[in-house]
Amino acid sequence: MASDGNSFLPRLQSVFYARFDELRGPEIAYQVPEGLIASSAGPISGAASPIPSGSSRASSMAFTSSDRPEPRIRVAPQKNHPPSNRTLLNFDDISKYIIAQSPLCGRLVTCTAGIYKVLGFPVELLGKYQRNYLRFNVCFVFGASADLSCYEPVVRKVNRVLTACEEESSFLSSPETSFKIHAILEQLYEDLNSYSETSIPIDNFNSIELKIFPFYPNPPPVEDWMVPVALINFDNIIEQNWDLTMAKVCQYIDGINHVARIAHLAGCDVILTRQAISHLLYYQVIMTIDIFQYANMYTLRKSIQWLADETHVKEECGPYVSKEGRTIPDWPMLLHLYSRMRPGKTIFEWMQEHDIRSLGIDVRRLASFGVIKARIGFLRRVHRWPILLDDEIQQPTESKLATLPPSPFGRKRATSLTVTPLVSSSMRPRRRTSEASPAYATVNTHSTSGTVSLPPRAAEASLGTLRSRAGQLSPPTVRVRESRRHSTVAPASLFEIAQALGGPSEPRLQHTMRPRLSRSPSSPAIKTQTNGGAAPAPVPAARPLAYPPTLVPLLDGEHHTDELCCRFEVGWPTLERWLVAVGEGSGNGDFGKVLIIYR
Amino acid sequence: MAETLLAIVLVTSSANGSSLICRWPPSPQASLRLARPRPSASYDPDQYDNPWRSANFQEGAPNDGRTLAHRTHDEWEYIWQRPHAARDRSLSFSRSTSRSTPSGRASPAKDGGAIYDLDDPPAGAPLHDEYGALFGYAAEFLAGLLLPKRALCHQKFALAVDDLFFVGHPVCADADGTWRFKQEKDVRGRGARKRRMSAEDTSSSTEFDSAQEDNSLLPTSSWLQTFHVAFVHEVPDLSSSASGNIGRYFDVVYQQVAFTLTAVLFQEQVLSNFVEKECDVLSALKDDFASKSRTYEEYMNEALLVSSIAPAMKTLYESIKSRSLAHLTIHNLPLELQLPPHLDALLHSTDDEEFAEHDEVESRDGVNTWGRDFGIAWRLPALEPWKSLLLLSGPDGPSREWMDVYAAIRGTNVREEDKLLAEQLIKFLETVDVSLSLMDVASLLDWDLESQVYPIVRWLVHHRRAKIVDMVHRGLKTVFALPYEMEAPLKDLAKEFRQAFPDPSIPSLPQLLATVSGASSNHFYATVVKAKDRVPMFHDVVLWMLQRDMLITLHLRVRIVVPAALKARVRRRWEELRENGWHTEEDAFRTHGHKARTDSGGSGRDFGLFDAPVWYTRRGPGSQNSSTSIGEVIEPPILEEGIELDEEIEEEAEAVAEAEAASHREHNEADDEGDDAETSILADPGRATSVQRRWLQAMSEGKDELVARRFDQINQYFDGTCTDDEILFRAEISRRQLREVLHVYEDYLQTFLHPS
Repeated sequence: MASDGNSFLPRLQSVFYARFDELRGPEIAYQVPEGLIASSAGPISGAASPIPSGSSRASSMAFTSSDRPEPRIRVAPQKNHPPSNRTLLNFDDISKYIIAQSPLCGRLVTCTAGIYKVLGFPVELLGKYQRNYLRFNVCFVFGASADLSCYEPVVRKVNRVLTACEEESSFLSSPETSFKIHAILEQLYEDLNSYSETSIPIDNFNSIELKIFPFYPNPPPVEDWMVPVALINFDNIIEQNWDLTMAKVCQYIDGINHVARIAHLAGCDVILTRQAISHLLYYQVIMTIDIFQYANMYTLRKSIQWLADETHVKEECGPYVSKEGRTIPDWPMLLHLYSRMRPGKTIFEWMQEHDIRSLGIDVRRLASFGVIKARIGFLRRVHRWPILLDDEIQQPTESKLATLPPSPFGRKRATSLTVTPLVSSSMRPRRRTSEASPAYATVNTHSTSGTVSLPPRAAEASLGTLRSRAGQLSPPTVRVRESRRHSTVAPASLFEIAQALGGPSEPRLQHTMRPRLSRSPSSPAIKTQTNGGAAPAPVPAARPLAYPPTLVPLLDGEHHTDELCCRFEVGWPTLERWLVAVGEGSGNGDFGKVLIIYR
Repeated sequence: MAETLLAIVLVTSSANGSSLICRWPPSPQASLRLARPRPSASYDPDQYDNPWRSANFQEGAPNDGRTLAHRTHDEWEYIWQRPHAARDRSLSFSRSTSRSTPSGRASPAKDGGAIYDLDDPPAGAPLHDEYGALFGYAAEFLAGLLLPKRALCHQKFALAVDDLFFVGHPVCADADGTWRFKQEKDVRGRGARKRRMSAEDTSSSTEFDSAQEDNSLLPTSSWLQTFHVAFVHEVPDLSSSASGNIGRYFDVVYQQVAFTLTAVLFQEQVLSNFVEKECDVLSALKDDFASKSRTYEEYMNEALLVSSIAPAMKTLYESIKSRSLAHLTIHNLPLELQLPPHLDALLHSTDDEEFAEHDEVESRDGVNTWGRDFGIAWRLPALEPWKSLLLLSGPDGPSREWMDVYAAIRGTNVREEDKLLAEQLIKFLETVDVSLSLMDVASLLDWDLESQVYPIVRWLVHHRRAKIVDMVHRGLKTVFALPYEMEAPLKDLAKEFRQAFPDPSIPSLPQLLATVSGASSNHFYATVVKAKDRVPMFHDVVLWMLQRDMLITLHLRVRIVVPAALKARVRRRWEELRENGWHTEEDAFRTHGHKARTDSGGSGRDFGLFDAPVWYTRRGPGSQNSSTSIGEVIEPPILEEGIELDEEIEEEAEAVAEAEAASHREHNEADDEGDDAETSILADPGRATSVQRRWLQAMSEGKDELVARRFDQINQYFDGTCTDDEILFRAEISRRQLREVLHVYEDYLQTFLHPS
């Protein structure tokens, strides 16, 4: 599944069993295929070799003659392999890394010789041997550029199992059994190359059970604001004995819900949810994208250069993004729409500009197609990175700390406590999520300055007034799910916020544009609607509003708004107002001392 | 920087055995590793560490809650220890017994006494002695490990032992004990590339080839048999990067640093027995310090003063760690070594494609424009004539540093020809400007682009004194965007910015960034500068930001859209023509189309495999509906002199095949109603088929003739990949002219604005 060819398992070129012979010193006792590892007497290293050693040919000869092997061992295992005139490497050159001195024993040693790499795990056993020790090593030979991560545990295990056998029954040192090594090597070589797994019974008690797992790099850390998108159909593979959290989490992976919301919907701990998502990422069965909101901004990536001409992009895009029953727009048109997405221009503005509504395009799908396609996508989300200009604002916020319920804000649960006033604000009949925030915002506008502490009851009172105002305002479009929202308190807010963040859950079901718009409150049109009519402007300029004090230190240009929204469990409209309050700006795109950097 | 680098060591061997001469840093420390995953504190310890506990369950050991609770709080339980390093550590905790050595695994050598030391080297100094031990190994053992058999010398050495990775290039004397250069053909087991490297890097080796015959000219060494400058690394976390990246990473370290350094040392050893002399000095010093019980650090400090290898190792190590260019002096030979600036990204990238996206040393034609010094991890844009060069300033400010360079160039007693080069360099530096393309610079200086400008550019980039950027408009009317990542926290950058530009009329950096990024792709002048007299001031601001990669130039790219209506129109007319003597019209189309192609000239991609076959398209009207086979292809035109037939044949065959395919396509296109009926994008106008050319022609109907001709000339670049700069350069037109074409042909063109 990884893109490059490197992730395929490396080919095992040769397996050999080397040991320290009491008389001949380090030698290769058996190797498969035979003759690939040359031994001794090379013209180059003959003089330097301290111990005369028989050639591998000689040793395998010795083995065949003395040990009376079963016939099947005698069969040359690799007919397709070249004869011994093509040797991979010379054993004497590397013997000090294979039959190593004690300090190297019990360690994984990889040495390179020419264009081959030898992976081994030298073992030294002390005991009643002639030299008081037995040294051996089963080594695997690969091409020098192979990535051996997946073979490391295999090599360790083989040597450990053989160690155990030797300790139990002198499997390696006894002439009655030692010839069996060759068969083991043969099976290792054949099975690992062909099936990537093997099971080799050695004696009544021991066997070598191996499986090579492909190597996947660790995925990047999963954040609460990431939206997992399934690349496979989980329904087909889910089993009853799956991890419970995983089973729950999988249900809610739909390319719309972000991690925090999934945790909430699935009723799982958010840490466990993150781990589950992380697992799925590791196996590359999901990928993550950003949260879709109408206030998002996107920009083209360089890859549009070549992706725009790819047939699969051209052909898949139209059917994917068009709503049911509508004519499928042609690719040039869609490409044109993509090319008009710019940093600094929200999706909503872009929709207005190009009259997307009339085209029958599902904007969320359009955006996610661009982000997902060909793994890296040709569209990139542009995040807002708010930064607070000066530190002078810090002073009033500290005193403001007292006004808000004292809670650490560090953890999710704590934050949901602090947002309680917001929750209570949801008691009033609301039409739009966008008004949740003004409600909360206006709570504190009643206090003359931010320093005066505001008892909860005052908030209730002000809410009351607000409720009546809101009542007058209430337009005929009433929220469908109102009752449910009222039913639960804290989770409701969480859920709702998640909704606001998540955007329309299934835009295809929406037949009219209105209700959808009302749920994407960040759009300027909404703002003008709210501010425009007889409504009392919910964001009075330069009047202090309540915002969590922990927000301020986060405004250093290193945290984007998705992160902040997730952290404080609010939607962008609320955060936008908070930012206006922090920056003492006049709203409507003016954040005062808070600057928004789009990147 | 190579973040995994732990130390650089010099080891030598003589008839008496091997020894570790010196190392830098004096006391290298590998970072801590975990023996098993540490449970997160937020979890109930009863639940978490189960796999480990069941694997290491010991009968009789109390397995109650107390020990569990104890375990999770004991950090050290989870730390992996190098088997022999335990006593080396100053930490006083004892090795936990629970960290089981697997059954039968050899116990550490020095623990059990020397009963089996039959062929081990005599046990050296105790391991806690910093002279005698390194990374938990006896120094002598380690030295022996790093010095392979003669057969493995003079090639890349790579050895991994558990968490340590050693890479280097050991070299040895010949069997008779003399040091001499290898004949080129003797270089074993390496590809041609390596051989080239060795030829270049030991540049003077060829000069001495003749002298080699006479051994008496070469100084003889008395004891040195092998030496090896090994780079000790920690094996990085295998799971943090995509498969294969770690191998590439160590390859780069080897090629860029280890090999070159060894080459110089080897040359000096051969020529003047330099390494042996240095080792003599250092070993004597080491013995002296060790006998006086002075610390290894004191020894190294002294070594820095008396030798030239030790300080070179120190400089190299520190430069690698600080990601800078190392200026070494070995035996009075100046040497510059460095690792690619983005090398470490290899270790952390999990997305190959993302990495590859940055790493693009090749131009669109597939030519490596940078040369072999710039391999992976440089993240360089392709070197193209329409790009520009930005000089980077050091901490002292641009002018001062460059003055130093001038002085250095003028001051050194260089040869006359070098002086000339230096003068040229100065001239170049004075000319180059971010608003001038490299081609402009070449023409201003009246230099050849490929042979004179590019080498200087490469030199400057290699020495990190300049980087390739996109041209910035003189009046700053360039569209910028912000990169996704900043190299430093914004607050710090803002502070730095304020220091550089205290003028209060310049907005603060965050303000600037917010304005630029929120501008919805408007150019810099319109969003920030706003007044002509402020351009010079903001010019410096832009330079400052470009130097820190805080601005990305957005480029315009154009594609041609062929609306369905136009296609239908062309088709209708085509049918009409077909009925009454269309072939004359067809010929007119063709010659015209071809003329347009050749007019445009200068395009490297315009080889005309598709549209060139004038000789090939001689088809009778009758053959219109039957596909043309190769047999019907008219003989190729007479070959020009100087064309090598042998080489051409293959290409020819390809061209014919392609042309045939094209003709098939053409016919299909002409026949296939469905394909033609939809609005589509012309994927490669430079290789337009005849039908597509007719569309292009139809677009020009009723347009101003001059503009139409220009459109004809440049529409081959409207493929969505050519940047505006490239189009201007290739077509040799002005920006205004391009804009005019874009405006007039608005209906048929799509523009894209994105970074390269």
